[in-house]
Amino acid sequence: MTDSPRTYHKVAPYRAVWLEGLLTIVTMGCYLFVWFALAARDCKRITGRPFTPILWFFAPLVCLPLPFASHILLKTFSDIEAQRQLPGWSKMQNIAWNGLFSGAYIGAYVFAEFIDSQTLQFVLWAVAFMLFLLLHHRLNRIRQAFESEPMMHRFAGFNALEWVVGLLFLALWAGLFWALGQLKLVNVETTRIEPGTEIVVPEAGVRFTVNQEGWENVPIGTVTDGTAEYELRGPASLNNMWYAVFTYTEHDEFSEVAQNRYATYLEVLPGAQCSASRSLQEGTDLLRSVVSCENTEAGDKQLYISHLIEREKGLVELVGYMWVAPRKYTQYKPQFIKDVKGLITDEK
Amino acid sequence: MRSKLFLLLSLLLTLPVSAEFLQGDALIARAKQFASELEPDAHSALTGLERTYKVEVKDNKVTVYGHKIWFYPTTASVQNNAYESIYFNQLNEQLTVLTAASITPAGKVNYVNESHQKVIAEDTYNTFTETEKMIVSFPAVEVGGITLIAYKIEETLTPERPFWSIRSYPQQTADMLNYSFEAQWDDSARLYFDNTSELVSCEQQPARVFCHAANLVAAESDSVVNWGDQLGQITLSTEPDWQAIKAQVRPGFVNAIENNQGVQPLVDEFADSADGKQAQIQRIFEFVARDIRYVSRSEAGYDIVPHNVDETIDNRFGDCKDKSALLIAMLRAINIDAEPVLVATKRERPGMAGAAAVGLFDHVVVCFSFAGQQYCLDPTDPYTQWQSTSDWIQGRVALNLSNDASLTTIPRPRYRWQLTAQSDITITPEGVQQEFVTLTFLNEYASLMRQNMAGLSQPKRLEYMVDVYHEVANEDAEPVFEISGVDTMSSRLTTHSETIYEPYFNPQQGISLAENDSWLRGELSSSWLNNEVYGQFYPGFLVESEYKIQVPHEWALNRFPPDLNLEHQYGKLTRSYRFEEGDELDTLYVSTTLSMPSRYLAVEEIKAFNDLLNVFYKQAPITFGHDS
Repeated sequence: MTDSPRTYHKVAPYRAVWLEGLLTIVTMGCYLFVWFALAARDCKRITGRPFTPILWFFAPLVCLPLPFASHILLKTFSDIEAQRQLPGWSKMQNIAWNGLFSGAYIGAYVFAEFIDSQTLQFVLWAVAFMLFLLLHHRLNRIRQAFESEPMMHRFAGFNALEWVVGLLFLALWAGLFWALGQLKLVNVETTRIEPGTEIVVPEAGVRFTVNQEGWENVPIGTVTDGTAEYELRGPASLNNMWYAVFTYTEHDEFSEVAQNRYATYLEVLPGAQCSASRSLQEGTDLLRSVVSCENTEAGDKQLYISHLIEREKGLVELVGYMWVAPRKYTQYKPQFIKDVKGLITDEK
Repeated sequence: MRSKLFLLLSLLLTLPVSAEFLQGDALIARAKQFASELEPDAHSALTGLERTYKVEVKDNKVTVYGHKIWFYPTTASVQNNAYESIYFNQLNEQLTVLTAASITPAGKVNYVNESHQKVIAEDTYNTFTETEKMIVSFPAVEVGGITLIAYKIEETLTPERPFWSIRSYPQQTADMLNYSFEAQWDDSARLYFDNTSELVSCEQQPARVFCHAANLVAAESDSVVNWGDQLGQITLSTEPDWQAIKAQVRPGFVNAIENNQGVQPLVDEFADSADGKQAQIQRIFEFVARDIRYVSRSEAGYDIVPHNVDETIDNRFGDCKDKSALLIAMLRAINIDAEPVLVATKRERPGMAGAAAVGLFDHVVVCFSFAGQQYCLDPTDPYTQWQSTSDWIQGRVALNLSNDASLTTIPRPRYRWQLTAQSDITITPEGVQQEFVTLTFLNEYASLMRQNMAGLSQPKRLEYMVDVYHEVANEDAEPVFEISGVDTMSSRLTTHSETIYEPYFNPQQGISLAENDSWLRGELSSSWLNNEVYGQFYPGFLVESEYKIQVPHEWALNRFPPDLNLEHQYGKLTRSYRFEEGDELDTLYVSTTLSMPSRYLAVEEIKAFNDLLNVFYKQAPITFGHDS
């Protein structure tokens, strides 16, 4: 058995780099998995090496095998380029590309999971994306070397399924952006909140400070049923995290509202552990109540917290909710609760 | 000629500042003149047309002349006020009604005769003054009519009783159009004057004082008022200062205490049965408070002087002076340096006491220091343990006869009413509740409950506590009580009750319970202050409540009462809970403490105080249950 290049099957044709990039973007990076599988398939067809393309699908998905898979792929590309006397990358370029690509790719995951710096995460994704386009350009050159070989039927290099999926995703994105645009027209604009910003809600007569990154105010009804006076959503990288301000009339009885919160949280968070406390607002005989309940469901942590403040006429409440992975819970919970407890009413 | 001119000028200057005391036809003519000048419908309640006092001291004889003219514009004023009360001391003073009559709107004069006059004792239990009150009921008073009275009270100052004083309140609870007060004295007795009323203007000369006021508006009434502390007053006294008062009263006590042959045997006997100084004090106080019964003994010569200690021991009775003297003698026998302290039981503000006068005081108690703590014992109180202070003397104006201090007040405790309530409740799976409650009334509260129950038979005592339970906890329940501590003078009075409640909810339909902290709520609801015009002293209370609630394990409680930490300048309410799971029964322990320290509240603070009580009241329910 020799390792000489042979073509057993047709390889994919030249595919425009910009179309490849667009497809990756509209599928939110998922096409990358397919790209690796197709690249492995074509290498197998060109070199006859015993690759299993479907396994290459998982290399970028699982992340950790990516540096090893990339190394094999790059080495195979270099072998093909040497065989066909194509211009290629040196060994150092291969190592540099692999290091940069794998580092940026895995780093973006790590930042998303542990550090939650969206800016850095975006930069890493962009670096990985650009490196990917470079590699695709290299693959195109290899595929062009086999232009005389029989080809599959394509349009602009992509088969029918790829076009359908790509256009479907494109339509979905267009629809989503249109819908968001409509929401912006009828409601408050979504704006990002810098950490340490004091949020003033004049319609509710309250203010509180958000001390964590990644918060933004959202249109009323985004995180509640629309009965809130004001809503904020937490970092997008987390499952779900929000604050909402509610007001109550003077006919709503303080103890009843506080008690209802307690009962409701127990109902929506099965097996929750709760704490409830009441105190007087300093220098007054007006009450404040803090009720918080937390549970673990399907491995994730959930927390509801209500800070209810009595005023001479009516009540006002800041409710916070978070549903995140346990590691994030430990990271976010203390400041999340502290911010809720920091609710201040400007009216007596 | 010059001397005659000077005399005329002097008379002219004197005339406008002189109280004109009237009697007989002159007074009736004056009243008719007032009646003719009254504007119809100008007055809608009892109105004083004139009130005049004239005091003369000449050759050690004091004479107080007074006349009053009242107008009755309504039926209510006739029904409620057509009489006159004149206070005097029958032992030393002589009261003479000079003229008393009513005048109808038509001008008919109806004179008061002897059958319209009666004298009754004014004294109340626990006081030593021997004051009488003459009540004159005016005949034939009609709406639109007038009453008038002129009287004199005479007293001769003697070496045994050289002191005298008078106190007049220009403003009263009815409008007064004309008020005057005049006093003049000779060299036989120097008088000292003081005026705390801003409504009258006074002019003082070396041996004369004259005060007058016009159109005095009625003082507003209120739920709780010590008029002596609220209304300005004119006082005139033979004593220059409070040290002189001590010099007048103290010798009587010294003499009474010195005659103490019977004290030592009693003290020795008590020492055998009492372990330690505290137990000895307790035993001695119990003897004086309980075994010496209270009998008012302010006969001639003994209105401010106690009887000899030995006489009190032999009689086994005495008034507050006698009992105080005996208590002092016995405490001194065990080396407790006790002293007599005069108390004004209707006064709380030393600044409003006016000129120094024996007449300010109506009671005497015993005060001493022990182990760094000041104690004031009222030996006429057979219900209060010696380490507590009888509630009717707390904060009252006092004068210690044995030191150089001026007026002070009897110390008040931080909390007059202290109660601990322990409730042990077991709920069956069907919802039947078995409740055991132990109530411990402490200190002054134990004294009050003891006072309420001491005179009752055992069945009546149990009925009394059932009534209290119905009022405070549940009017439909039938608790079974046990009571201890009523017949002793301990600091605690304890009751135990057992009550069975039939199910009032269906456990199958969900567990959501609210157990009212009844005894805490009861104390809160009894603390509301009602004054709207004057400030009020709040005596303070402390309630410690412990609940142990056992429920079936299968109820799986997951909602518990909120922790409370309600802290305010007027008081504090705290609550915490602990939950323990068992095999068959789970137990919820809830501890609540409510502390409302004693304090004086200005009238503008009372609403805020009541609002806070209301906030605390709403937190009384202990809520718990299962939600899913």
